[in-house]
Amino acid sequence: MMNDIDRNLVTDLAEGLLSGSAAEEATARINSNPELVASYLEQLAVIEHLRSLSPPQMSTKERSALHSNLTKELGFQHNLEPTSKTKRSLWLRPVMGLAAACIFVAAIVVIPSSLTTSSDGTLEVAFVEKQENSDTFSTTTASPAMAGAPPIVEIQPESQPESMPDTPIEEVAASDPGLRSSNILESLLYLTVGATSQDEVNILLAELNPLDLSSLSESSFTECIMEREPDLPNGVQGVLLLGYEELDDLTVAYLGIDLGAGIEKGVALNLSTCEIIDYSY
Amino acid sequence: MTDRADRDLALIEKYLTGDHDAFNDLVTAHEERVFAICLRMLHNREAALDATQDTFLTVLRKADSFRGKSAFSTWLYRVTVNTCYDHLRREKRSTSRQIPESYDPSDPRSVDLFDAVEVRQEIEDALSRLSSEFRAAVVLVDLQGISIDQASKILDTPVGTIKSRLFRARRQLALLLGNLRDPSNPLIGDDGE
Repeated sequence: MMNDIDRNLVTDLAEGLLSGSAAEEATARINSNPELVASYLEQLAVIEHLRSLSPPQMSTKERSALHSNLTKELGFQHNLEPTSKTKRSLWLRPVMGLAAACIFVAAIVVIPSSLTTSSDGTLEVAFVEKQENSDTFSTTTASPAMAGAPPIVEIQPESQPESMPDTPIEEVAASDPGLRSSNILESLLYLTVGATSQDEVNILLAELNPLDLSSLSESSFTECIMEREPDLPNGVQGVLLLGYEELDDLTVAYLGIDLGAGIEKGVALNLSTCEIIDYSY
Repeated sequence: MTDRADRDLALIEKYLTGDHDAFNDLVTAHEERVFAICLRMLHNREAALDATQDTFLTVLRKADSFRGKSAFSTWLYRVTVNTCYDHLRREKRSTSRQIPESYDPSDPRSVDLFDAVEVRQEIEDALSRLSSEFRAAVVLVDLQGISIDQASKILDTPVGTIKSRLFRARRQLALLLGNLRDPSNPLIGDDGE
């Protein structure tokens, strides 16, 4: 079996990155092992195929459309004078304040796994609760019978959006992290749709085990929001934190987007890279 | 810095002082390459055009955040690849995935008369089956001729990881192309890994 050193050696030689004695040593090393020789020839063959392709080009029509759209946006942007860092969209200001507030306000970290309709027509919330000092999740069903727990959230189905995820999260978590975050985001949105303040969000999610958000980096949160501003829908009036979770190699923040009538849309951000993992808009 | 990098930096500075034409010049200078990356990444002309537009809109809106520490092209291609990743995620979420459109350009002037269309289509199909991370490495290095060092900066990934992705991506391509073509084609090595 080849190791990483051999693979990099083959790649370096195939890329022509080596010269002089280094190239001679690499060639000798590769020639001493038939497996490396085969891999080297294979890499060369693929590189040759790929580099024989001419680059695709835009058609005249496509280029015209691109220029037209960009010209419109260019004029619009300059009318708004957006290039000054001190003139960011107004909605970001409360977000900055919100982020700071969130560090001090106990909030909710929830991973709703399913919503089922009870016999009286209301929705019962079943969720997966993240355990502190544990890498695993345990499933708990929110219920009025839970000791010390406040009454269960009851949401009339007819007042909620129709596009609820219907696959329990734990069934897809292992095989598809993207779908998992999608389910979590949509479940959180389902519970908080219409909320206009962080307090309201916290109340709506109060039945779910609150955790301290102090480990959530304020700077990464606000910087990510600002960085992804162009990717958020138009007309954003505010962003509210719905929850976050720490997985093996990333921290995901779930955010509700207020477009003027409370939370309507949502986005899941990887705070490590500021990438949008999922969105609902 | 190269002449191109110097010109890009000058154009950005002019744009930030309110010169619209400077941004148009930047678009004109880079649009073909951005589109090419997007098309190779997304395998769909319409999506590639959308991603190209989104890329330049992001650059337009965030031009003031460009510090000039790296070449403008490095920053631009990073935005391009991230935009493509976003499009791929959205596509993945779509319940009814669209059938990819033909790669054949609609403008006769852009038809490449020298490519064997059949072979090209095979390679394009094989590329589309790579993971987005592997595809990005191959698109940048093997198809766009960007150095591994610059690809490392664009993808914000260590050089060693880029090399590893290239190696593995090419191996997968060899297998895919071997499956699509004559099994006796010597493109595949016989190391059996």
